[in-house]
Amino acid sequence: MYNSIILLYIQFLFEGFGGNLFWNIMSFLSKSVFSKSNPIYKHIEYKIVLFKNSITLKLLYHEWKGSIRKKETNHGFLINIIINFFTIIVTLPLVIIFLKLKYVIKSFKPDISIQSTVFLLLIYIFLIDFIIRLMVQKKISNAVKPYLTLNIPKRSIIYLFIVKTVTNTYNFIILFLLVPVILSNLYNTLNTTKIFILYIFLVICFIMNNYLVQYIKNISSTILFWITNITIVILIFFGILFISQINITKYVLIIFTNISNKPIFLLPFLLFLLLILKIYYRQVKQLLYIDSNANQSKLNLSTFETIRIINKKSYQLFMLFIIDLKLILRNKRPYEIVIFSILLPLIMLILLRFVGFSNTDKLALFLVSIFATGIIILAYGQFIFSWQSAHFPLNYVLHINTKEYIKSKMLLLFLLSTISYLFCIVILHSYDSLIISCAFLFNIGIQIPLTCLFGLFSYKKIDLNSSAFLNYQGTGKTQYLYFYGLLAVSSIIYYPIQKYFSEKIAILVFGLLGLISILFSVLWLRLLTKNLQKNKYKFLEGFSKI
Amino acid sequence: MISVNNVTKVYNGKKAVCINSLMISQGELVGLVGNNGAGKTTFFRLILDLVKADNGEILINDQNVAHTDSWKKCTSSYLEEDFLISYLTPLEYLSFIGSLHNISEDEIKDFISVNEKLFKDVYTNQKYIRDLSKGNQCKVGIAGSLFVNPKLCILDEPFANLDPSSQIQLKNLLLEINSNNGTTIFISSHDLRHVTDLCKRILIMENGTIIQDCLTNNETLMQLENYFIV
Repeated sequence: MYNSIILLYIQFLFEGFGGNLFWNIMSFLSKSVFSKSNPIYKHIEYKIVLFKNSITLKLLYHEWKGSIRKKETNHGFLINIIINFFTIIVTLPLVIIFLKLKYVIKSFKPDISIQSTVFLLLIYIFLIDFIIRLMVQKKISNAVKPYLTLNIPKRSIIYLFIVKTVTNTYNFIILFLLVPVILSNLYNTLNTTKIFILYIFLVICFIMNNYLVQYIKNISSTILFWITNITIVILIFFGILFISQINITKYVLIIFTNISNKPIFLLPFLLFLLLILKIYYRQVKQLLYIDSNANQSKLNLSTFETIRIINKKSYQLFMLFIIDLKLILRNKRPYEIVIFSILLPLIMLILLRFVGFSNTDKLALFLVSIFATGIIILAYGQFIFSWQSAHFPLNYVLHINTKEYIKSKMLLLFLLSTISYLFCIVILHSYDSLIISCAFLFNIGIQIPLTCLFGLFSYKKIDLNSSAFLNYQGTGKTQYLYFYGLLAVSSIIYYPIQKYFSEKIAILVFGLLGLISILFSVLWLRLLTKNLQKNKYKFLEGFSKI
Repeated sequence: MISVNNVTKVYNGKKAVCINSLMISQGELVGLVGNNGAGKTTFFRLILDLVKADNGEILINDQNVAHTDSWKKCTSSYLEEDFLISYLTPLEYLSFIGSLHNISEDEIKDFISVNEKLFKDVYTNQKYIRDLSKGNQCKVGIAGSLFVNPKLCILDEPFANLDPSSQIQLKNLLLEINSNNGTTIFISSHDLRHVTDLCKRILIMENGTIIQDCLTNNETLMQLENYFIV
């Protein structure tokens, strides 16, 4: 048992993270300490040779090569580094806030215990981390297909998965930036050893999250299961809301204090992590077949057949809409964008409700509602035509009615935005629903057609199965032009009205603009149809480029 | 070498492969023919443990392929271009495979230089595998499966994308490897002439089952043509 844990430890840590450096240091030290005939020196040298010939290491090296030679993104190695660096830079403001947390707590609530607040915050981060991972963590893929026919033991391929799953920028930010920085606030209340023990505890917890989410993602091969997942996520958040009414600080304090005082309490968590790893190991072993995803359930279209007799055009619109829906449900990037764009405002609304912002601040409510009901339009709609880049020519071969094609896109955006609107109404029920509705009207009336219009100038091909997280493929100047343009025009409209009339009237004007735009949607449709036909060859050319 | 016992694989209620018993001995050169959808590729995938059989067992050198990895040491294969590591150059790919079998780059170069006509252009190509033509990708895959001195080599339609010269060279190379090294070679092909020229034993597959298992003679080609013409 002891030996196998040590072996696992070596396989996981030394082969994965900076192993080469570790063994080089060991080699240097052994050379300086022992003579060449010493058995310890020989053993270390033997281990170094073993390590350098490790298949898992070779596979990791290939993964690295694969990532810098990625075809889809056209990103060089340097660009990848810059993007990752940029991600870390973006989190810096958060790091600074957490670094100064004790001062923030002192200035707002001087009577509250810093220690219990930090512990509570860590628990919330842990829970939110689980949800974020559900949304952004990559699902296991068959990128290892070529290795399966080669002389590579399955064990090595599984180790590759285990190491790959944990080594990403997200984990780096959580484990090496956020957690240490939050814990640094306890420097005056706890000694260094205790803080270090807590750090180890949190690392175990976050890695546990990492593999647990990976396990869930791998088994959730059916749409039904995904829906269950989303429901669980929502329930967890409502659970947090519920818990927030109860004083959980006391229990959190007991857990953290006991662990920091008696490191033996780490053992159950460590054992649980090993158990999860073992389960994950077995799962990956079962997935290492090329038809492991072959038996996924499919949407049964036969129930919709009756609609065919109602109206040919409506039927085509309906079918196009269903295809769009399937595109979202069956492809990674659009799926993640949609889920993220629904859940992000949901989380934000719950937090705002929890924290509480002024009922009289109309502009804040309007902006929150604009964001909540509009983010999905912006995030998904920016690539509204590019999502189908892989089979775009098919639309022309099949002679699909262009107007119905555009209608289906607008219908999809409308329904997605409506979901967010309903969330807004339910969560912010005690706030002015007229302002929320104005924001919604503005989004569906102005944002949807404008996003589609700007989508007509996005000719870049999109890889549907790459992750949406930190994925800039397809993004270009059009999106920025649209976003900042809309922001500028909205400000120009808003401020004079607000100055000469009132804040509420300015907001109502936005709602009215949306309503007028909806009434004239026929004109939008005509404009979009004309432009899509005009840009047809640009799309066909752009989407065929790799 | 290969022993198949009561193997079945079902997809969506339809039997893709159903083979009660099949034995392929060491040193045999066996061809598998059949129409599209007959189950040839699925059968190869079952042998290589790439898909899990619903029932039965497949043994390579008396080792159940689903239970152990040790059969991989003596087995090589090339099924399709998806099984190549697309972002490596041919040289990098072959070196990697060599490293898995403790074969040095010099030995790989020796193999390439002996079979210069067939593989040299591919080997010296600095493009990534994904940027090569289908034919050249096929050559990389075949080279990767042959230079490792396997005891068993499985090739799925190896002649499909090759030019006529390469097809003839490959045919000669496979015969040579089979006779010199005693390598068991199991190939599938839609080209009945190549199969009858090359293989001493031919299996006809239909609806997932082996319906005919015959030794090749002068009339086999005609018999096969008559069978498939119907």
